[in-house]
Amino acid sequence: MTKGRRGLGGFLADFLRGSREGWAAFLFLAPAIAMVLVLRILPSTQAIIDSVRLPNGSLGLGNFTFLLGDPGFQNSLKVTLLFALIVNPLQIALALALAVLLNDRVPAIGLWRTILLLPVAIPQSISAVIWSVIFRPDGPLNAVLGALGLPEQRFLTSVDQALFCIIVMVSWIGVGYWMTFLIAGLKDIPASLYEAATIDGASAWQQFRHVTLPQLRRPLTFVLVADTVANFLIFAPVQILTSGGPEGSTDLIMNNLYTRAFITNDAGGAAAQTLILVAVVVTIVSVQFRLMLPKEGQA
Amino acid sequence: MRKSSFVLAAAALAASSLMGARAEEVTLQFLFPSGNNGLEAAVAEFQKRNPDIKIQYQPIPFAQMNSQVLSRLGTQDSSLDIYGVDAPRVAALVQRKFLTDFSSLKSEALAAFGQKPVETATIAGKMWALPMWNSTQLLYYNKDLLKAASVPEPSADPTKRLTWDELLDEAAKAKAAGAKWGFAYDQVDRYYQLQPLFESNGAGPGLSGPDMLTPTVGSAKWIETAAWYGKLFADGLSPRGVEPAQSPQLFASGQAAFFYGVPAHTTTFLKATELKFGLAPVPYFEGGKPVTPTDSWMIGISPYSKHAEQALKFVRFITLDPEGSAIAAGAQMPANKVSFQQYAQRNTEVGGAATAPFASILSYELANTAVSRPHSVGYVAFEEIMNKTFSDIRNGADAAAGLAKADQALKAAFARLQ
Repeated sequence: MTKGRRGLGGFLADFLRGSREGWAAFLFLAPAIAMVLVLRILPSTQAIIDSVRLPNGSLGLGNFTFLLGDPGFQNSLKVTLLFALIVNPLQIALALALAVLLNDRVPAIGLWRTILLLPVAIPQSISAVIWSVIFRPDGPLNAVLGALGLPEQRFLTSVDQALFCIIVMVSWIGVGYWMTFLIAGLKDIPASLYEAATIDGASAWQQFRHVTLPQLRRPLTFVLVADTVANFLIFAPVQILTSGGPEGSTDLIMNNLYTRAFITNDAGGAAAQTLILVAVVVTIVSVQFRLMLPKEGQA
Repeated sequence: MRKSSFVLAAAALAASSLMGARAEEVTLQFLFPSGNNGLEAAVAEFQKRNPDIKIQYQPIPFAQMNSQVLSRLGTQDSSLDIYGVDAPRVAALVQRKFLTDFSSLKSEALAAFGQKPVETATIAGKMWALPMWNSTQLLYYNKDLLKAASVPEPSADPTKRLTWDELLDEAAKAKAAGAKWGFAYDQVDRYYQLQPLFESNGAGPGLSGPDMLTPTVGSAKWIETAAWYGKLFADGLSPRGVEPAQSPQLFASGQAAFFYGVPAHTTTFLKATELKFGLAPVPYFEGGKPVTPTDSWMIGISPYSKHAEQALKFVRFITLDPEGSAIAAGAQMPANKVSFQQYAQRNTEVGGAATAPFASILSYELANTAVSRPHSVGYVAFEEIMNKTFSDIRNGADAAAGLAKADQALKAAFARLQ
């Protein structure tokens, strides 16, 4: 009973000694280890090998140098970073605002939450087809603008507007989803903290700034990281709405990667691009984790 | 006695196992783009005639076809036996060793399909797929919209076809007289339908060289033709933001005066009871030659299939067999010459005066104006890059700048092909 917190090293030592406890631990861990091997380690290893295999069969870093000099890839990276810079703060701010709003006593609160969450239940491909009709130059959105006396817009056919149309569509899907995590976080905040703040004379904004936000740090960190990763991997809406156009203005990295892998059949280039994408995402997520660490003196 | 009963038992066992083997059902997986009801009927008919072979027909969206084939055959997936092969992709699939050699069927194929489709399926002297469908284009016109604009109906005689300038002039008149759109493309932005524009204007297919791996899309003629294409949309004669799947509806609902599309839409348009339409041969550029696109889906067998013999039996049924190919075609144009005659006659008679010139136009175009897409291992990349470029030009990009970018992208993509 002295082996309460022995860690993986202890179990490994037991296993290597052939002890019963070591074997039991191994058997419990085996399915997870097998899954990690088959679903993570092997494909990652394969991607690394493919990324250094050049089209002529030799090995080297040529795929990476080709990509870094490729205007199509450079544009895709630029568009993806711009997209991430806008869509992540926007979605999180909206999700947080809606979570705070729907955490109060609003009439028919269940109905509002369901309506906001509903787009997640619709397959992304179907949502994209619906939005493609909405955004058509002769579609219903322009009809509404016309009825309001506003000029018609080109939406998905405009280099300047297409990326924002994608942002609107993916936010329509995502905001309600991320909101549910934040509502769960809000429910966990003890009411006594708000009571104490009220007694101290804190205004609603001060309560939000000094009670709600610090207490929401953990769910917010999760939403920030998961939303960032999800938005880096957006594919179906782009493929269906714009195929990356017009003029590459919506060529998000997953669309570019898909085209390279499955349309132009450049397996080596696609594997190298996957590794670059992973590196970019890991870097950004690491920075986010660091930024969301509690400051000294905070819980 | 004991010996004879042993022999008897062994014989009975052998007979029963043989019977078991004969009764064993083979299941074949068949991958093909969705939306073709003819194939479902052909599968049912084939299974009725061959109860020991079951065809698992997997219809998938057209856009996913290439990626599905690449990912499954790239891992040597033996469960995929038969699949649809888009005619210009034969070369790339052969290069990756994803097709079975059909050369032993070449003389039979020549008799069934004629020279041109067999040539498309032939790479380096070997035939790799069997043509199932063929294609061409028709110019559909809305009789009421032309009448309202006092525009005469175009002639159905291929030797008296309109020039593009004449057509656009008439389309503009129809638009001025109330048509929402003067002219609409069926497969807008797709190289398949736009190649004839460039060929008719003397710009060529956009690729040259012995392996068709040298881009020529930056030439003056290409820029001139692409600018002409972009102007259609900039002038509001044709709609922006409408995808190919939504295009036929523009004509069916009476919004477009002229529509440039595949013959299969005749069936669709006949169902639109309010629509009065006619057929004409597609226009050409003055000073150039009339050109129409051709070829369509072929059928190939995976070299990793464990049931190649049974797979070939099914492939023969939907391609070489006149009866099977007629069923498999549905509303599409069969490549098989015998089934084509039946198809052409049926479609000529189905719509009375509206479809009367159907057979004569199709036969003329297939024999005189059909031009295949380039046979090249780089075709898939070429088509992808060009389709995106056409889309950009439709949306307002400068033709010269767009084509210069395409030229650069093509050179980079071809340099990666080995």
